[in-house]
Amino acid sequence: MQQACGTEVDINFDAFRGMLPDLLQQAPGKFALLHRSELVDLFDSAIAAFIEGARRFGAEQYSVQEVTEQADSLGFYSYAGGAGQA
Amino acid sequence: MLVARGKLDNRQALIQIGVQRFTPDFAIVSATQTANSYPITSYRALLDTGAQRTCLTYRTIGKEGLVRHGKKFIKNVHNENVHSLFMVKFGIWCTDDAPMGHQETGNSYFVIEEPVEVINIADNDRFDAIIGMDVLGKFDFSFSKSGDFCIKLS
Repeated sequence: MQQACGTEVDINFDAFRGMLPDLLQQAPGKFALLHRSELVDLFDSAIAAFIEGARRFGAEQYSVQEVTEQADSLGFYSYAGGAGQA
Repeated sequence: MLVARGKLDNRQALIQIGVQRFTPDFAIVSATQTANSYPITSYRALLDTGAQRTCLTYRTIGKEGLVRHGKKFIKNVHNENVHSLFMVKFGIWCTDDAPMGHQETGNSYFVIEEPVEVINIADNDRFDAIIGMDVLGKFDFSFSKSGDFCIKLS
């Protein structure tokens, strides 16, 4: 089940990275709702985008990405190594 | 007042939390949807003021059947990696702090109203989750030199 969603999330993430330079100009800090590699809409919060995605497309058929170039930091835990990845 | 108390263990502050997959209920027109399914599994969570975001281990994510909805670049001291994002209902096991002279009541479960967006991290033996400043910043919390710590939840 997670694998099926992963496919949608991975495809959308690749598409999103291509859109990011333009989105950073237009809507920095917003949250992008994506479906089948297409930008559906922009929202003020991840939760709002998540709920709209679930309503329009059903579970696991969409993804949500923040319009930012900044990475989050795990602080101390990153020093311990092995934080893992997607 | 609901509080989560503990004592440092090997210089780490660990508390008990619960996480569950967030599934929107379209009958409720609000972002704050707190209904839970029971029973709620208890997990060990490390309080980490250096972490910007709350994290769950792969094992915890698997046990709760969480489904990712996005990806995010996360920094460590060496480089950046892409992690997955999950939306969860997040709660903290706590006690009801009674007024002076009265006894504390037993276990309670405090649910954070809004869903929390968390990332995945590698499994380890010490804890199942890291509570970052996205959650900790919602509460007053304190450490004493005796090793006791307390999070005031309401």
